[in-house]
Amino acid sequence: MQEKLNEKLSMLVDDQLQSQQAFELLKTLQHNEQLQSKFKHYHLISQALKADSCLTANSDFAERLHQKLRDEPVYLLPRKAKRNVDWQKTLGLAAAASVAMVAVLVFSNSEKHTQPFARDNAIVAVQTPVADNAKFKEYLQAHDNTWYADNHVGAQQYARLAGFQHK
Amino acid sequence: MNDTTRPSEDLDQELVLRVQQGDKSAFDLLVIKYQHRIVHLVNRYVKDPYEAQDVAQDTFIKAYRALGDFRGDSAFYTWLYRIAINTAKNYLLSRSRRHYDHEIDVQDAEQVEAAPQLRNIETPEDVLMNEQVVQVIRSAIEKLPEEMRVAITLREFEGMSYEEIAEAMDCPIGTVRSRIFRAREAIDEKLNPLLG
Repeated sequence: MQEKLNEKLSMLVDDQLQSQQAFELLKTLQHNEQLQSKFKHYHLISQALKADSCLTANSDFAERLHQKLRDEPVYLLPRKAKRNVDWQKTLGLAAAASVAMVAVLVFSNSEKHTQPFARDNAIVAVQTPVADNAKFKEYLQAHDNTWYADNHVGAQQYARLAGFQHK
Repeated sequence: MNDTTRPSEDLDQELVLRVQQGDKSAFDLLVIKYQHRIVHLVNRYVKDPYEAQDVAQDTFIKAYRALGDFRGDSAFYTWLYRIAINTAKNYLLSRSRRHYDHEIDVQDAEQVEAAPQLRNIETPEDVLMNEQVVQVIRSAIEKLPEEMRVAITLREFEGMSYEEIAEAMDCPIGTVRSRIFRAREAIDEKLNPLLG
């Protein structure tokens, strides 16, 4: 069993272990000191054969690093690459939106200035039947707050008129 | 020699993706896998076994912080090695600044690295130990049976993959795997008394 693990470790040093096996071995390695020591020696041998000096990580290297990284933020998603902004398109859209907004503002303002109470008057005209009956008209003139003149409903709704007629 | 065959490269990609998706423990596995190579690489620049450990730690911290922007355009280990070399060079630069107490341009990093009085801070005991380890390993390899010695030599000196060695030695790939492993075990046996 141990020999099998050591053989896999030898393959891991050479990057010849398949992905899934390498993953499982690294997980085992994390908590197995004997295996960690063997892994270290295999690396030492490899280095000494290639160079005149050799040095491996201290036995507490991974743990020390783990502690240092404990307060580092956790990634949630890979960061998206910054998009290239199409300035021509953006500026075109902004200009079109500005023109549309100006047009709406100008139109609404001119409507207000030309007929300030037109809408109100129309409603009153529809809702208030103008009586032909002269008596009824007189009654309305005496009791209504609205100013009647020449069969038209008065424009100044806030003007309060009071009339008294004696026969 | 061709050393592009790396079956565990897929694992690196998978672990990187896991880290990018919030699995911090996946980074621990990458550290375990690459810690010895990074310490060795950094020490080739720093030439100080104690400082090399710290510079290697900084390398991994920098790598973790930059991992969100890692797109996988190059292999993870290539990217990590680049960070390690840059970190080691920056360390040498700051060390030389402390030593001379004056400013040195970034472009001078190569020259600083070449200055032997600056780069070698190993104690005589370290140097002796290192020499002994290398001597024991090289002497052990000389005493190996030929098929083991050839297999490990092709692997370590020529950087050949198991497949290529199998072809060169005209034997199954499983035999190559076994020969290399047994060669390492035989050398490790000689090394154990020295390392304890």
